[in-house]
Amino acid sequence: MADVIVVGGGHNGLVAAATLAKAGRRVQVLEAREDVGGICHLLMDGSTLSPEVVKSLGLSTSAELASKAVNHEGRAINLDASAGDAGYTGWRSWVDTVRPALAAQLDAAAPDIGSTAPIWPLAKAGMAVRKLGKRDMMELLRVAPSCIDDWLSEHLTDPLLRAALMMPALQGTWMGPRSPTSAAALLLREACRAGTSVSTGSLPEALLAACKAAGVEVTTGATVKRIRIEGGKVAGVELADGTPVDAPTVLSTVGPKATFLRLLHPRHVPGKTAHQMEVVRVRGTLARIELDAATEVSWPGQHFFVANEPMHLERAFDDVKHRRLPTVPPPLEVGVGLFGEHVSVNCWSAPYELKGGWTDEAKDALVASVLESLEKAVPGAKDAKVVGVKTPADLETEFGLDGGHPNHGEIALDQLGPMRPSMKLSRYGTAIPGLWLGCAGIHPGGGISGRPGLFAAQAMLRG
Amino acid sequence: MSALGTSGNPYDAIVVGAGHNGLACAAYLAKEGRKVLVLERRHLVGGAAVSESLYPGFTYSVCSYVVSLLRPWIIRDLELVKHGLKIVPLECSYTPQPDDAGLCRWPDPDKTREEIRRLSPRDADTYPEFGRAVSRLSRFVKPFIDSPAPDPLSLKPKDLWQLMGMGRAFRELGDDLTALQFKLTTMGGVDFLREWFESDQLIAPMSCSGIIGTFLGVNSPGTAYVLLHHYMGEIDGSSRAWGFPVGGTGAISEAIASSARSHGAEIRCNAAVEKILVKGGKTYGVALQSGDELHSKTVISGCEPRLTFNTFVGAEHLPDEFVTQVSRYKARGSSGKVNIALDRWVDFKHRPGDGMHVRGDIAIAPSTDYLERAYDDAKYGDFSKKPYINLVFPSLLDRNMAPPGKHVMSCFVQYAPYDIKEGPSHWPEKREAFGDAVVDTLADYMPGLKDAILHRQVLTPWDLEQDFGLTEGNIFHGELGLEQLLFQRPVAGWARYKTPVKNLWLCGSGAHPGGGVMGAPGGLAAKEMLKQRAV
Repeated sequence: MADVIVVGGGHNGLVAAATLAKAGRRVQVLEAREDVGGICHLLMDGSTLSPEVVKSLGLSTSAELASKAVNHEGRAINLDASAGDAGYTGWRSWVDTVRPALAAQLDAAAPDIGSTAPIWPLAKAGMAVRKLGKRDMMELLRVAPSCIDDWLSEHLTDPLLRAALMMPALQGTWMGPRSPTSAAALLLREACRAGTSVSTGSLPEALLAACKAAGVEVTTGATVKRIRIEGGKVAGVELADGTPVDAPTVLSTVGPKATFLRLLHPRHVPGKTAHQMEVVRVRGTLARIELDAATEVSWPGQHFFVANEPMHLERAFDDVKHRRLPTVPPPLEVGVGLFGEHVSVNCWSAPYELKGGWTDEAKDALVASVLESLEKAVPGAKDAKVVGVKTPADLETEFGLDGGHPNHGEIALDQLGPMRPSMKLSRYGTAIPGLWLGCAGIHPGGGISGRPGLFAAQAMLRG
Repeated sequence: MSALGTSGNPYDAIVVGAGHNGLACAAYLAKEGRKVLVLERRHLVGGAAVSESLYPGFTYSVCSYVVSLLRPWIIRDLELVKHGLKIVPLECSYTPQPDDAGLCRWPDPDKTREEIRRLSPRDADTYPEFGRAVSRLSRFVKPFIDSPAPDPLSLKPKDLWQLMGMGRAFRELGDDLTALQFKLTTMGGVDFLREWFESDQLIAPMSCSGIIGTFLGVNSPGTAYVLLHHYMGEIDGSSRAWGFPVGGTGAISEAIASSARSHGAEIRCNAAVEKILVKGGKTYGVALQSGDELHSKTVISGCEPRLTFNTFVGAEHLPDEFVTQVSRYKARGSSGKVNIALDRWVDFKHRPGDGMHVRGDIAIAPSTDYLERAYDDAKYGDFSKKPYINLVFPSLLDRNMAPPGKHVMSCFVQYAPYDIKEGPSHWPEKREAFGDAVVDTLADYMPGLKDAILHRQVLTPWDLEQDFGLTEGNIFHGELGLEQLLFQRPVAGWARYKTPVKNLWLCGSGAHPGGGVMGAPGGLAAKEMLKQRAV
């Protein structure tokens, strides 16, 4: 019998499993899909993976992707230190100044803001910010709650550069560039950035290898139907086919909503937790389109964004907000050969709650808009063969993501830190003995981060 | 001119602008024996809290038209009731729907629940619980608006004590309310309300309180916390949300002015300030547009921060970094005002009559989608084709506002962005089209409206700037966004009414705790100056 069952073989589940196994625990990972890695198959940004994870699991890294941005007139810029905007260096150096204070907020556990909790961890978090000195601290407090468009406009003149810096930050939020607090999303992403990158396409294999080396048993094609609670504590899980798997400890990495609202019987869900999980917002906006790259197209690079200017992103968010198909050719994120041979296109403005639902017609209309947008940036792209389309509804079914949301919870100030996913659940443990949480739905969240999995495992090892 | 002030100057303090905050500040200082002069550009006091008769027999509350947060301590200290202030409570918050009776929310919670039950029995049951939770939080927040902004950087024992007190109060809320407070300060109004309610017809009007005066939509993060204000309102010490001042909003300003005069303050109208005089980093008075110079030990500006610093003081007298911060201060106007004189009562389609349901505020906010669409128009540089409107019939609350049988309508309209795509100075060409959009929208709910209109005054954000000195037409002298509140209002490090110019102070809505007819910035600035013996 395993000591720990990890429900879900996404990157956080695998990181947690390997960490636990290396500490001597017998660990079994149960993954519903036929392959592991979860959202690593979807997200392209591998620069936010925790350096601690990289180090402890011996993963290989490379320089960050040389990303570009291309607008609908075909103008391309490099998103590197020489981004071609006079204000960029100054902006970047200020972000680098505050990065340590921000990174300190990603610490193992979120401070408890509850009324009976000790005040020290909270004070510590505050002190990391105060250490910046008056000027930078005040600037940070001014910038963080403001909207990303205002902030970047204060420094940068190139609208394409501004849009391109916003796009990765707005992923996983339900915000546009004009939404207050969107600047905080960019600060969060910057805090997570390590300076190096992993290839998300090959991360699942690398993590699987680390797990195997540590002795983790990884079972794919095994859907967990429920978490068994006996005598008030965890007894194991039951698979979809009725097979029970026993273990005294279960780490769920399939999202706090799924864990409490579906994997547990309502009678086992403590007090207000059910309601707290119901109100966690998970409105996914990601659609994925795979193109056959065989066509003769000269792609601008391996990774690039298609956008015009910030208000282009805002209009795309308006479509999300009104739960409709694109009314403007949408902004895109494109990876060429990042996942096998295909050209992968992420459209981050496809609303999960589309009015009328994601019918075949809706899917076709989305694809047409995406290709139109891509064609404007990369002539000839519209002739590429579409080999796969995944709407947020598909992501929900295929990857078990509530709302099709890759972060198991929107990135929003009220759903971060001590509030992610709720005040009592942001520190990996739960009120049910033996049940732990450890996915992007828990502090400190993130895309491809590995921190929640690592911190959950560390918390479990501490007991 | 009579004897000199205590400082040897003709005046101890000159207050620029006779808005309600400038007047409150002057009254407090005069009450403590200081020789105070208030200078007002217009021909009457009140600033944006002003009543004017622009059509024979009718009185408009030209800009601000209802009152909720006028601080009780100001009413008491300045004896405003003795000086004529009378506020009558609004009896209802009515949200008509184009196709049905809509929703009335009454001061009587049971009556409100019955109304909500029609929309959702679940929401009806949740409503009182929501009210209790938010009221509890509003009691926690209230001390913040009744004392100077906390300073998170100061190590002075007094400031640390204030911070600790606030921290303690926060922890005493208990876990559920702590979480709620966290959500209130960061979430969008609609998202926040959806955690409690399911009926969009209830959520829409409730979410509106968060957008008033901001350039944000009901879904924008950070708009939820203004919901607190609805539960913070106090009239005569009782927690009733909104009230209407008898005689219009100008009556508040006049009561404060009367109180100030009774303590010896001098108020001069038609006296437009051209410059605040600065020499060696220190102010010594003001220059008027007439060419006169008036000297005093201190100058206190009740005007909007950018008007004060950019126009009256001038960048050359200010540190560069301060100038940058002021240029980043956000005060985008987003609203206009339409005042209408009516020949007769006009019924609402689905709730006719001039009963209690219209003796309060009426919100044109049929759905959250409607409100969000109104914002979309503004985001791209146009006024809302179908705007959010909050209207009051002052003539139902005070018979003297209009001749017998006739009525006045006071319509607050959002969104009307200052920066329309043609450029702000093109507003005058669009003014009547904007007014028409408002009347057309209202006519969907009040079919007989158009024929009953005798006179209409349309104020665009451009007009609010040109006529009332509200830069970019922002009614709060700067948006009430998270990054512009407390110790960051108007500029981080300068939130306690002082400015980088020695002896120049701020006392308007651009200072802590911000806009609305509260009087708090004026009162608190005066108290702070007296405490520091600055005047």
